[in-house]
Amino acid sequence: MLKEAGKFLIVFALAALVSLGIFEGVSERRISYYYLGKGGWGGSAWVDLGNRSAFITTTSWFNPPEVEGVTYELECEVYIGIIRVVPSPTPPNATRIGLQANITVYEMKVYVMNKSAAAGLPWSMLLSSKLPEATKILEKYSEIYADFEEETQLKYAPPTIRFFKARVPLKTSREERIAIFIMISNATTGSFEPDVNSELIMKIKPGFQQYARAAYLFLAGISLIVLHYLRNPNEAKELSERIRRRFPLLFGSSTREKH
Amino acid sequence: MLSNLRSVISVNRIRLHFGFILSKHMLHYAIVAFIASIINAYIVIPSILEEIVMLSVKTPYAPVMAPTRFIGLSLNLAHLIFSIVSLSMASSMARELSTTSLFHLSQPIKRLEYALSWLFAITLLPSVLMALSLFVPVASFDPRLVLRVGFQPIYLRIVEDFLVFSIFCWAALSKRQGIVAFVGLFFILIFPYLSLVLFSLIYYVLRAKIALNFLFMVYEVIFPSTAYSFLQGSGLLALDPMKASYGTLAISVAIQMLYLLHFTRRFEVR
Repeated sequence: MLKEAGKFLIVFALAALVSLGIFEGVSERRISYYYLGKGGWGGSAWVDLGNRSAFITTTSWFNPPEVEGVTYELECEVYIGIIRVVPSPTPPNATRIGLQANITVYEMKVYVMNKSAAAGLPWSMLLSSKLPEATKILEKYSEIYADFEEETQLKYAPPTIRFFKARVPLKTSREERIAIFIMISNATTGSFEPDVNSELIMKIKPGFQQYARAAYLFLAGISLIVLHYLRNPNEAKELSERIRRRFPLLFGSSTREKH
Repeated sequence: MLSNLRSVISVNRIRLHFGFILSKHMLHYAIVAFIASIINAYIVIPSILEEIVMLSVKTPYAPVMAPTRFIGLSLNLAHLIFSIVSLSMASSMARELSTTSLFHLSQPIKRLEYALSWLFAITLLPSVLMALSLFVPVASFDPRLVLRVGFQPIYLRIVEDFLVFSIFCWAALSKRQGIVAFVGLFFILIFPYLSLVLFSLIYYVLRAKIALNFLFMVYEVIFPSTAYSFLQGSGLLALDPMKASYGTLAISVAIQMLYLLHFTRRFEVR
């Protein structure tokens, strides 16, 4: 029985090693996709900054669990549809879809913040004309923050949509977190709604400890087989003779020798 | 009591015969355990991770996506793979009973011990290997994840297989490999799925809901795991799956006892 148990342990250990290898190959999985903008869960607001305006929105609280060999990234995608409804000359009182005035995005950032840091944040400043100063505080308190980059090489995107993207690697933490999105532009307050999507990306990259665990199982299987042969010396003798017969060159005897 | 049992059966002889069966079919078991482990690892580990990440997101509304439940799918695949092994074991028992069983029974081994060791090889070992093929890769990835696996689907699957594999033992007593193959395919592929189609036909023809409830109750007792995975959330489950599993366990124990009694008292060995 020990021998069979050992063999099964070796099989399971090999399967565990192969599956870890497969995870190395297919390392990225996208999960937990949730909206932040229009119709989203987090609230959103426009702030009038005089000659500029700011759009602010947040994600829900999230807390990805600590698992060995798993890291997380927050990916934010922002779509700005540069269309608006404008009055049409004919027929009277009709409207048509026209291009939005050219929007200049001065700043677009996402801040990831722990719950304890967010507790000390002056949230009212974020929704007032003091927002530019508040962003400095946000930067200071955030675990990490990132600027967005505009994707201009999109193949199938219509010309009326501008697309921005940012990726933020998350640190391992037991605390809940929130992501705050801020866009400062020259658009008129509330003139359009940026579509802000956030995704939590889980990356599985097995570590040394996981391979070591599988290797440990493998060794445990081998040791069970060895234990079986130690308890049954006759079988061990038979096995050694069989090996000698099958692989004579390993033991220095000629293949022509008769056994 | 224990000494009485020892006089009836010898654990050592059962172990020896079971080891003999295992050594003959080790390759089958090993290949199947390997494939099932990889499938389970690839499907179940990310599924558990996705579920716990989804649950970690706090929203004012219901979650955007329901937690993914791939454990059922993974278990169904493992069930199919291990059923084939159990079937091939039952088939080789049938072959042995029609050819060399008298030789085996002429050795110092009792009929009961012989029947018990085959019972372990056909029912117990595939079920244990199926559970291990799920837990070992998960535990080697992160032992904490083992506690996150939903135990109910695994328990229901093992209980269902315990019953189905016990029926294979009876099929092996026919001494015909064709009958074993037919019974196996019937209980693995045809009966669990075809009966659901039949139930819907009965409902649409007779419109008899009471009869249908009874049929579903019987179905749940025979196939608690399949019923749970197919009918969960449909409102058609007539019984709580855990309660249904008690019936399944009772029936499988009865079938196994009858198999042992029949083999030791009535069965004619050639």
